[in-house]
Amino acid sequence: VSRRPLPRRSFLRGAAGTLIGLPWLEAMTASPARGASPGPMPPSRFVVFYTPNGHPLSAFRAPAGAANPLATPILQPLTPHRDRVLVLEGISLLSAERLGHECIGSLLTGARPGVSVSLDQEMVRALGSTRLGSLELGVSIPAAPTGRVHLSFAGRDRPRPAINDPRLVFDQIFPGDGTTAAAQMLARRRSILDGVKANLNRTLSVVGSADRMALQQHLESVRELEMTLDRVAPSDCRRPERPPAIEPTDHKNSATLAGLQSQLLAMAFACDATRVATLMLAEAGAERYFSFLGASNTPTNSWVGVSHRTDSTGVTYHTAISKWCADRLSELVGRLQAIREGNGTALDRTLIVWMTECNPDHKVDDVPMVLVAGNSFQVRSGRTLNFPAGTSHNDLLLALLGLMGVRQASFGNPAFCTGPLSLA
Amino acid sequence: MRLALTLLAVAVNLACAPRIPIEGAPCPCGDGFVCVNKVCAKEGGPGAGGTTGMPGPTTMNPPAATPPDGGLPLPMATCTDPGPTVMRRLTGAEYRNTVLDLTGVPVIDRELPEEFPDLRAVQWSFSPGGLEALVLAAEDVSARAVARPQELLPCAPDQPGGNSCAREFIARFGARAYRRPLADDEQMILLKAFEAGRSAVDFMEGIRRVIEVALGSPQFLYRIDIGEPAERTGVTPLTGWEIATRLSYLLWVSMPDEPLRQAAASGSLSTLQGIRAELQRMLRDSRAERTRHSFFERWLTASAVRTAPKPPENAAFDVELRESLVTSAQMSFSRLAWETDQRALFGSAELWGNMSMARFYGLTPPAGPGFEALRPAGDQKRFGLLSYPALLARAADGEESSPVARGIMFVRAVLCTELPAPPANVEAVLPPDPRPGATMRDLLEEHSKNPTCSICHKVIDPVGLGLENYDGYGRWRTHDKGQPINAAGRLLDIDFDGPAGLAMLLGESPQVSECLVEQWFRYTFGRDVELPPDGCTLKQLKTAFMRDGRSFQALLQATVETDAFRTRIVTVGGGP
Repeated sequence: VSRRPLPRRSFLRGAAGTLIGLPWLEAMTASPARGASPGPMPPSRFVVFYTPNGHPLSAFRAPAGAANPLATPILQPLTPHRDRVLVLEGISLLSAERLGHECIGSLLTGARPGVSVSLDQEMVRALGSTRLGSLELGVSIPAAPTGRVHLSFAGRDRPRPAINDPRLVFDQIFPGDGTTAAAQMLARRRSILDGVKANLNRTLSVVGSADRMALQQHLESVRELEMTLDRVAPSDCRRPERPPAIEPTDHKNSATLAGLQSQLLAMAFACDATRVATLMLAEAGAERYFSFLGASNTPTNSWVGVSHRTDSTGVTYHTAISKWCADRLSELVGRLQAIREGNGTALDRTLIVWMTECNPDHKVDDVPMVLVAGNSFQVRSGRTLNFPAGTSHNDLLLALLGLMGVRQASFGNPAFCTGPLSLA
Repeated sequence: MRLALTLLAVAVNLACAPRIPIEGAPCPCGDGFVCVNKVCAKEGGPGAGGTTGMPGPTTMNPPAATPPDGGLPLPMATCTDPGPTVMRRLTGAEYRNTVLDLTGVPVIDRELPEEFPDLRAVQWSFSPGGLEALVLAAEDVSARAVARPQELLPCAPDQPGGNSCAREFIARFGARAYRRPLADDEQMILLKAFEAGRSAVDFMEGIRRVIEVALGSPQFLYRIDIGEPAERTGVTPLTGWEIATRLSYLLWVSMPDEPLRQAAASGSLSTLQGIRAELQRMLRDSRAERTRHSFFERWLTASAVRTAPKPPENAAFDVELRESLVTSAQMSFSRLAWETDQRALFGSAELWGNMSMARFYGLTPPAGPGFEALRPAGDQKRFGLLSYPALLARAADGEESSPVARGIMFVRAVLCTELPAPPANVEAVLPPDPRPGATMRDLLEEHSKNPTCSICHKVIDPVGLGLENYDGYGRWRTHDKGQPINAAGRLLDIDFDGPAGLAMLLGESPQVSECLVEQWFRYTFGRDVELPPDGCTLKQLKTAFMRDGRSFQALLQATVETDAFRTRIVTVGGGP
């Protein structure tokens, strides 16, 4: 790896089909502030990597007793990070109290879909405040309040929709337009939000109780936004050029967008702009088409279409898509590993959980999950962990909280909590 | 066909002739009267309270003072309860239209992550991410707006020390942004933002900040109805400003224009005559088509044809053609159905289309390059909504027709029959054809054999099979895989034969009439589901729709005259 810092404005605009890269990661690794002197302990971070429509279990799991849990058609791309990977079996989404794609709303809430706060938001509280509380990243997630597009919730009926446009994400990580000094820009935004808050407060005093609740939540959102302005980005965080405009709703751009979002996520961690992120490669039940399958674009060949097929071609297609997802996860892990931090890398203090909302038959018992845990966490990785049938995923959520130093008796619906799973 | 449409229009006009204002006369009733149990009663009179017969827990406020133009005062509730009035967030389309009308510059090149088309979301607040997108959009808009000071400012920029022009701008711009005159404290908030910008940079920066604060504030982002001040719990009229706002978002999907604002200021919107006059004026404006498009989209999501999967081999079904289908469906609905009645909605033999559509679908080619009402060529038949290519091609299985998808779409949309999700263990995709040569009808026979399936599919499948004369693109056909199409079926206990019979059945069906009113009601009042008090309003609307030949114009007029549209319930103590 070359240690030559790259020029500030060296955003590579790729030709169609080639990977578009943000070379700041490289620049970051040469940053003296982080590289030379081991500063204070770097923070812990939490990532939810979400891909929809389940996986063909036969191609996901290694046979019982296999030495290498990653020697399967789907998980094989994670092999370079084998030491850090823990494959979880036997976990069921009991607290969803339903089946099917809508269970996406239960994955992080540990309750019926979308009725309570999600784990990532709980982590924001645990992991300390950063400029951005959390980042919700998506790849062409449709703007619809159906139960299939939201993973993160601030509370009941308060989804935090994923942001599809990498440029909007970029603007959140790097406030300011690059010409005006960032501090001036932030002061300006603060003054605008002051006016907005004054208007919110006076409106709160004249509306009825139902509307007051919605406005209170709006005010909370404004305060959260304000907090992102009050903390200035670290000085060693270089501002690369803004990503090019890529139509975020066009599925043909999925691979490019997924790459950019993953790079921006790593960037946000490197700059300590946030410590919590969710990345959705698609919405639950997504009907997407992958040209690498070489199949015609009929619904039975779409992502959700192949996921429900039981014929061998269908399973082969689904396997290829799941492997594509594992590739994206492996890339993300690689990016975090490339960021030097103290005496190690940003991966050391990062916990990633890969989740999907149900199995191909819509059932939610024994849903495959994968943990990628940095070496600072008390997790014995590099293996498959088998839990007894009927193990509630709420206990996994409790375990993840525990790894971040949060001990609590329940999360989500307490009826489905028995205590944190042991991952050590 | 043109002649037939003209005749229909005349018939509708006759049906809307003035009614004789006599108490006790059979409905329809004239101005100042309402229809109670099929008999006219004075508005607000003793017979007019509560057509449902429910003892209302509410009392009524004294009527508003007679407005200066001498019109009748706003009649008080005919339904004891207008239903809850909820604050509504501007939808994506409303936000974009309003910003353009307000500032003269469009929102461009921005993803607004919370641009929800759905009804449920209008009652949600914004997440921080959504809010940030709005903050960035407002920064962008204000920068482009102040680049055209002569169009933005009502006066010459103030010299240092003065702020009279800023104050004038705030009063004018603010009243348009908040859709009502500003209270003193609201002016002060914007003036403070101005002063901060001016002292940091210059006068125009102050103006920019006023714009950005306004665009980020709840008075702009939500439609909030407070109503006239009331001291007692009960029904209170909305202010003229609030009615103007409801009218403009209902009819134009944007903020009120100057004449509507003047009508609000003059008090004329507190009378039925005033509301009717504005309604007629607004309907003549080309912006009125936005509502028909917007309602149609929320109702049937024709835009989904843009991404409906089709085999790439069929190169003719390209992006442009898909876009044409969306336009075709919107215009066909707006110009052929909405202008007439329920029968035309399902019966119109024409489709709006352009040259590429005419070619692909075998319609008589248009005379010009744009969209025109086109007749089908040859022996093919079109039956209004049931045959819009956008809908048939979106509810399809790739190149194949999907009677189930079509059936579900129309059963939900025009019969308002709620369908539960299929059992979890059901394969959503049909199994491969076990018998070579089996038709779709043969395959769907399975549904009738299994009682778990037949509950829903006995309604879904006939509608879909009745449309088998249209292929997966919505093209007319008489044969499928070499076999003649059998599109006969039985729905709502009536036998029908083919799309013509289905169209006739739906065009006449009272259940469809009720459903159309309910769909429109949900759209108008931002409900995703009706609440108990809505029953009274719905009954009024259904009565009006049936009475006036099931014409959509009559439904629209009746809507803006309901108490639910013009009043709100006030619970003193529990909130204003």
